[in-house]
Amino acid sequence: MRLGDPVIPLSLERFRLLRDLINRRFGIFFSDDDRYLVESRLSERLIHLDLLSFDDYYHYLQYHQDGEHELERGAEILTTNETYFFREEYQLKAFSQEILPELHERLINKRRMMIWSAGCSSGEEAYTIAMLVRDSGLFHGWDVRIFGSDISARMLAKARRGIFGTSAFRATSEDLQRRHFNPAQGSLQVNEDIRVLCHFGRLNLLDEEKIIFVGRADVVLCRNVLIYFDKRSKSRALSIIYDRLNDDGYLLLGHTESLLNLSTAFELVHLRNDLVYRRPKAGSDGF
Amino acid sequence: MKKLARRIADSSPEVRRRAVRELGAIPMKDSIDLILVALADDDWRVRKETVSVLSDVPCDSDVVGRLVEALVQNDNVGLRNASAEALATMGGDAVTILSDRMGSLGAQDRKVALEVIGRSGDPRSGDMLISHLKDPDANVRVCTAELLGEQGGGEALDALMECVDKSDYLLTLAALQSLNKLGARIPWRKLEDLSDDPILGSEILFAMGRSAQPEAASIIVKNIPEEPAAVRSLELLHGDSNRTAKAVELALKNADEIVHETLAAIVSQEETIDQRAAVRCLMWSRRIESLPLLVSLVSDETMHRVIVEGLSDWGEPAFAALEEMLPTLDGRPLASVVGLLARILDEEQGRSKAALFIAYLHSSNIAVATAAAGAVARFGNEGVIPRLIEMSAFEDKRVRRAAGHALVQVGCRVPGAVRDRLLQMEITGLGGIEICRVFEVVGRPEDTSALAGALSSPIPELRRASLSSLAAIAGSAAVDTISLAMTDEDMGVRMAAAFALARIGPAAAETIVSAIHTTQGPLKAALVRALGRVGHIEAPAILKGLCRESSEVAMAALEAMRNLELAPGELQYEILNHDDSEVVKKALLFLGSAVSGQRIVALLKHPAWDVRLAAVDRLSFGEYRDPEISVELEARLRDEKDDLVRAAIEHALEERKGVK
Repeated sequence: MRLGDPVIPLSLERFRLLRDLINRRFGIFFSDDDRYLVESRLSERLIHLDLLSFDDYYHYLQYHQDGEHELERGAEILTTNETYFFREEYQLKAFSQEILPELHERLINKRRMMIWSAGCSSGEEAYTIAMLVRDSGLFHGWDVRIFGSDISARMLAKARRGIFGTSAFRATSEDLQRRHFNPAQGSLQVNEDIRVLCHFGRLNLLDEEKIIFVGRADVVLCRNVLIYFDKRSKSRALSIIYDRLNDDGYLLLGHTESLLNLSTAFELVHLRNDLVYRRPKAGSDGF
Repeated sequence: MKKLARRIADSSPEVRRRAVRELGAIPMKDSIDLILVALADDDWRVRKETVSVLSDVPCDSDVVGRLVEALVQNDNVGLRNASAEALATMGGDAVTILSDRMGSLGAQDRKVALEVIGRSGDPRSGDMLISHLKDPDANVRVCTAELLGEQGGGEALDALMECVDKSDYLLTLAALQSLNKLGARIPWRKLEDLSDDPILGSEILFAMGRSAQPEAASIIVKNIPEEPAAVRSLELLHGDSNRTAKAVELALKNADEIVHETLAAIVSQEETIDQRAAVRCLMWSRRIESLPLLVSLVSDETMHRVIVEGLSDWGEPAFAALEEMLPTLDGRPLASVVGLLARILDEEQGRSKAALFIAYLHSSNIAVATAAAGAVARFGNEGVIPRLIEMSAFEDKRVRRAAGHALVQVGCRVPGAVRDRLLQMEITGLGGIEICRVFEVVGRPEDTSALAGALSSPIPELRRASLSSLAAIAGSAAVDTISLAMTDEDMGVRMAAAFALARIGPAAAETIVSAIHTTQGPLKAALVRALGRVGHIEAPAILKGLCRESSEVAMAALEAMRNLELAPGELQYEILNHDDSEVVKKALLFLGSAVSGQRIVALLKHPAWDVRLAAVDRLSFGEYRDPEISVELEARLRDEKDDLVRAAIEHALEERKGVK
């Protein structure tokens, strides 16, 4: 939405209708406090579709033949947040200095490792993980797969291009930029040796049927994604992630997130640099 | 009647035409005068309507008599032609009356009367016509020969053959025309006698083309400058036997310069039939001087094959001459010759010219480089690999495809060398698509990491190609990676993943089964077909359940069942109730005799005519012997409105009569 574009008013009643629709489909939850965010972000869709009110928009989502796709577009707009490379450095330190060496030891016979960045947005997190894996020097010749998933096709297209503007590098040292990026179109492009480790796909975190395509992961990063979900959806998503993790597989949440009151299936692991969650070995009680 | 008479005289043709149509409802004895007026109408639409009315009424000898009168009058040509057309549609009585009156008619009227008889379809017409081949009037004889040419048949052929002699040139010409039209072979002794007659022109040459006589070759060749269309006769004669082929080739080799000039002139024209025949003649003449002209036609799709096959037969002289031409050419003509050489040289000859092709591979002209890629595809070795890899990334898609194809072919000969080069490069961009295809041929299971860049490419086409390649070289080890691609945001990539899983085989079955449950539309259909290829213990149950789904999925399920040779079960019969008539028809075909007659009988009332037709077709098969089915078919015949279905039911009932 451009500055100066009109904002179409969204009543509390209509906001709740829309919110519940999005929640049922994607598990993403907006509190009443988010009404103005929804109003301002979705107004551009109404203008684009030539709709005059949120009543019309709700009707469109429910009954128009393109309603299903529009719901996805709407959710995409509401959940898109800017992210950047090497976000939450202390956690990444734990990942590279403690988790990766342990995985190397544990998986050395298979020489295969899968890391899932759930809700990867435009790919910065997935590429960050790839850089840490490369720089660790532990996995040369391994079959390493870093899979980034998101519900936004637009974000995935950006992730696949691998070209990022300066704001994505606010936490990236010059040395890292020099080693892993090349100038391209006035921005920086991820080097090929990093890009080849990363795969991307479109997934709704609550779509249990499609999630099976991810296979089993050794680490799942689901950072600052569950914050959009209501409690029930968070529990469902965690159950799905639990199923996708290998035994002793790690779950990394955002620094403000925890599983308190959500799941007891994971065990909390105290690393030197951070607290992370882990799926216990088979035989332990799960979901 | 008076009202109608007034309207028949109305100034508006449309009013007159409508009045004529109403005349059809009145007994002909009362309306014949007005009918004759209408037959003489100035407007063709009125005359046509009148002929149509006359063809619908029962034949009456008085009416025929009046029409014959109208036919033999000489004042109004429009009336005469319309009467002839009407009489021809009336058949029997008209033929009898005309035959009776023939003796009293003048030559012109006899001609018109014979046209009516010839076109009447009456079984007596052949004999009547044949008797007039000896008519005292030359025009009547010629007209009769033409009519017999239209009618055909053994007796007509014999009679026409008799006419071919020196006694009556006009009749001979007409008989030759008719015999040529009928594709008849005329005895050589008759043709030989007439070969010097300039009046008979191309007709005698066409007849010679069909004569199967080697002697005909030199006569036809000699006459080409006068009768250029005779090139087609040479084509016919050449195709008859080895003997005639050799005679044609020899005659062309020994032909005067003017013959070759004429052939060149025909080739330069746009008349495709004569042009192609002339190109063949130039090929058979094997004159090096003709090469530039032939080469100029290589890019013409209609001529390409003729020229490539022809020049391959020339052998060494052609290769040497073409090679000599190369330095004098550039652009498209050069590309044509390079492409031509690539096709006509055998392997040994091609390998000896490899350096030449490699030089052209580096041409800055895209067409030349592409043609050279075609050549090195056949004759190249490891030396061409770097350049082909470079070309596989060119912007022009045709160049990329040609380079990719060449790399695949070279890869078949020296897989190790191609593989080593590919492993040193990054597979990115549009060029990567071709490289992925090459990997399918030369790659090994341990090379999958080389495809990683392509799998994560922002270009969906490259991701698609890499999946196919991955499935080919890694097999079951690639299932997890391909499975991830089922989440790709690009539908084409997801489809490619489904195909790749099918390619892997049973190791991918679990993933395919899971994917079937989570997808819709064309992707689901592709996965169902994949299941039909790889099989799975649950496949019968899964496929049966899909018979009620959307058309594309139900069709795919049917195909999969057929592939897996699953015996049809009760659930599959449900597919006969599918909304889409195409699905029902396909199901009928697939389920075959497993469907009971009663189930098929139920389809006789299906709202779609094509389903009813398919059901009737099945019921005409021998396996449905229940007499009740015939009763049902007869009942349906009474209600059926569609002509095609009615005809099929009648046929089925007829077939069933023989089934006991």
